[in-house]
Amino acid sequence: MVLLEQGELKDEDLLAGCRRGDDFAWEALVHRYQRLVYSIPRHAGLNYDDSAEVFQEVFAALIRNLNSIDKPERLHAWLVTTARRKTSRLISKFPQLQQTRRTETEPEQISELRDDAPLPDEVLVRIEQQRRIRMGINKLDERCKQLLVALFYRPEPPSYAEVARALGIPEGSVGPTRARCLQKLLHLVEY
Amino acid sequence: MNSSFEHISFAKLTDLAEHRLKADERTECFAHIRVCLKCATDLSRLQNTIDLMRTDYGEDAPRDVIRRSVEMFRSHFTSNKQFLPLITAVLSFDSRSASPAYGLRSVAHATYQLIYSAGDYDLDLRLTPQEDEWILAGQVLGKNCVGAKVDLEGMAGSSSTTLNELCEFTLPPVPNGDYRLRLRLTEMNVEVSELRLRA
Repeated sequence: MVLLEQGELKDEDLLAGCRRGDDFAWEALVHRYQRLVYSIPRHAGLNYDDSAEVFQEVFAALIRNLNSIDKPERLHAWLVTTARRKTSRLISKFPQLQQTRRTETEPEQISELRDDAPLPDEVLVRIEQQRRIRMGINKLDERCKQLLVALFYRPEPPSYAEVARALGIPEGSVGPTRARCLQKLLHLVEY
Repeated sequence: MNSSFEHISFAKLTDLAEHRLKADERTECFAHIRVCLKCATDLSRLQNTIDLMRTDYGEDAPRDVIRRSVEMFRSHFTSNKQFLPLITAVLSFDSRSASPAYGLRSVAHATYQLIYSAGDYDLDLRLTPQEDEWILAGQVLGKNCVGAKVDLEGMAGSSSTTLNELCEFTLPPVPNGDYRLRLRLTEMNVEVSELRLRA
């Protein structure tokens, strides 16, 4: 897993930069929200190509509306709403897409997450909370970042011995370091 | 640990959240948590955070999709510096691999139909081979397309035209080759990035 979010600038600052034509601000914004925007059509049952189409349309819509977003601090909500609308529109235009895609081979965890409601709010809430956690992890020092990713970004908890080998640290230091890093993370993350 | 007065250390709370404590230690901790709001809240927050990390199955968007969205920003400007995003159209129908769709007009048998979708627009293309060349004709379905420019560009050649009042077009013939088709609308540009015209 790659943690690519840009940690320091607020959405309002990035949006202001985009309005000035700042390429780097736009790139930072796309990277910050790429996972969130892409997850919405994927969770709705669309395949990779169709999800990519929704993804492009959302960011194209953002470019068109850069100067008309009233509340920059609500950019996240704007992106979620736009992605949901475009996903729903694509599904209503081609209803067979969602049905067909459910039978395709895809990562098991995606199939497990999908339920009968195409875009449940609680899924979106979790996606946002997970995004905030990843942003928080990105602000930690490298050692904490590596340790937390090795310990927690997998469905089953690994042994401390396994983590210690992977990171090249003493096994006895894993527990205390883990607690210290988690405590730092919880200070950084609000949800 | 005196369960009435001492809070559980964060390290021990983490062990508790991760089910790494022995049974007697767990019992002692839960006895304290039942009467300590702070420790109960900290434990709940820890458990929730760990659960969110363990179930983070979200996917990064493909790198090329991210790249196109990044490039969209700086690619297109009108003369008054208005941003025009570039949308890559997605193929939604190919008559060569499916039964003819309804609405397919009678055409020479070598002609095939491709339908692309890009947001609120659909692009209906008819490709007809003519010896060593191809004639590309079509229609754009969507709003505000009358008068839009269509460009076909490739190593083997290029051609351009303008959509008529029905948003239809027919491009001058081009040789066999790989092309990119770009449609310049008022609010966006739409691109078919890979169009293979081969006999």
